[in-house]
Amino acid sequence: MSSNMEPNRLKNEILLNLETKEQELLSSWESDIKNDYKRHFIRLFSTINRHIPHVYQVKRVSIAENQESNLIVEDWDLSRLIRVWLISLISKDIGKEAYVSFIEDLFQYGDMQELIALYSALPILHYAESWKERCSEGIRNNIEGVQDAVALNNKYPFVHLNQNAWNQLILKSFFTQKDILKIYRWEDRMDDSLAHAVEDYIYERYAAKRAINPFLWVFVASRMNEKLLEVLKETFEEYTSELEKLCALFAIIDLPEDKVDDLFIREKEAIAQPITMESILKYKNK
Amino acid sequence: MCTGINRTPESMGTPLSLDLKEIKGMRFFDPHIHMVSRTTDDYQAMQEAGIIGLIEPAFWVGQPRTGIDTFKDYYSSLIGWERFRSSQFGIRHYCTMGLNSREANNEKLAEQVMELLPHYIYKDGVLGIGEIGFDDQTALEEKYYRLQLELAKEANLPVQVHTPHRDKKRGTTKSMDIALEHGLDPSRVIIDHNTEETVEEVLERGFWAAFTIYPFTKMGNERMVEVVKKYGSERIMVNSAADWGISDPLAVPKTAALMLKMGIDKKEVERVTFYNAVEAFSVTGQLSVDVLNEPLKIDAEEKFEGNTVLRGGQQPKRNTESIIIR
Repeated sequence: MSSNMEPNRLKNEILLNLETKEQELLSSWESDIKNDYKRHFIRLFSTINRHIPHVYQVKRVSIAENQESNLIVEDWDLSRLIRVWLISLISKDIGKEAYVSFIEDLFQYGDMQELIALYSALPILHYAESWKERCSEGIRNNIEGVQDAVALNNKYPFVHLNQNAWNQLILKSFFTQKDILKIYRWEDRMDDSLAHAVEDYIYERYAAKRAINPFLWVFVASRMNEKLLEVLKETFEEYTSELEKLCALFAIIDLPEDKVDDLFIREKEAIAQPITMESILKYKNK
Repeated sequence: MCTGINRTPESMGTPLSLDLKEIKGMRFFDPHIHMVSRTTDDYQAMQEAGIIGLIEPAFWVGQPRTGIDTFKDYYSSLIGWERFRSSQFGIRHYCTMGLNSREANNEKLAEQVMELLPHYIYKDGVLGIGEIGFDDQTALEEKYYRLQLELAKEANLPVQVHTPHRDKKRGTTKSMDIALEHGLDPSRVIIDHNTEETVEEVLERGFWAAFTIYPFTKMGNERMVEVVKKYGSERIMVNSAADWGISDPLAVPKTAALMLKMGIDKKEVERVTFYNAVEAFSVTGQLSVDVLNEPLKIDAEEKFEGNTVLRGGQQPKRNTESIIIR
């Protein structure tokens, strides 16, 4: 995507949510950063809370998804959008070494909100290959908002992480009870190692008598076996919503009829939609 | 912290049962508490007792630091992990940043910390410079106290001043003299750990007077009741300064309960346990009664199992009465 368009797209959305005084302020910030980012960026980035009145900071914004954009802006507070916009103003032209070390420093000193913005901005940072380690580090962060900024509605992990790191993202998302549907293209990078880890996790949850996230079943569909079927049969009644049942039944759609219990046959018939990934994905925006 | 004082039960007075009925529905703000040393049990108890916000001053962490990176990581945790941990219990966490008096005595390290501070003092959640001041009242402590007062002036931040626990009266006077010498507005300076000996001068000279309610070694709240009866509630606030030592993270609500029981007017109690602290630290605009009136963010609905999970203040409570852990 043309990264030249991104800053303007973000700016337009921001301006819609501010009054004249703050709009002018933003324009002056833009020119300050473009002229001399070294002198102005950190000060402006860190003190948004002093310049933008609180009432604007907490406004929620979403921008309709657009094929051309690498960012998914869904229910962000305005401060976050402003911070990401400011990041987008740092030019690629300063050269790879200067750019990477500058941004990396921001991560080093970032407070919670700054980190959320920085990780949200991964898909639009220049020199995309330079941020893989940083992305993995973000997934290891213990602060929920920061983890969410990396894992949810973020295109960077799907595109750039190696398979091990991607698998860690998925597992951690289950551990921290995230909305799996919000992980960008969660359904497209499953592999055996991940399915194996998820199978073990299902047994662990079962042994602990703790709820089994229905999406886990989607990840083990490729390796359904007797033991997993037993667990599914015993715990199926936990699932009451259509989405939950869809996910659980997804695991057995490819099994031959004689392997499938009456319970599942009945449930399959009761569901008003095809048991496919498409059906599951429809719930993303509900 | 630990002092080896042996107290007999008799000298501790007659306990008043822990009945927080009086303060039900009241909200409290603790402007001085070291949460990095406290457990989630404390956070839960604080939340249940009505504490909705707190300030964690940057301080020493028991054993002296010897390298600049440990300061950096500690400062980062005050604006990051600890802030988040607090929010899990519905409590807004703020901090003050600074080089504390004890570690000011390591000059080589202190110089590096002074270079590091400007990276942190403008961050979200930072309400002032603190806690700074005197410990043993050495020349180096004075040097870095003065430098940080200048930093506070330049950054337009209030100052949270730690007064020494030994030779307190003279140390407090000196702390105020120096603050005024550097041209600080006393209404931007919170003098902490006051006692009956220091309060009068602190109030007379226009500073905020904070009192630390801390068993065995600092102020007690029965004495606090007398202070408020004598001086009123203007520019007076209480805190727990709960830390690694034997201290009580519920000092503020307990003091409120005691004050009400002892007949102090509710409005005065609210001032010393909530409004004054909020006002003193509202300089940067991040903290105000309005902000505290807003609910801490509630996350978007969890789709799993169809239950909405409210974050903040609704953490599961472990059963402390049972040997079963599940």
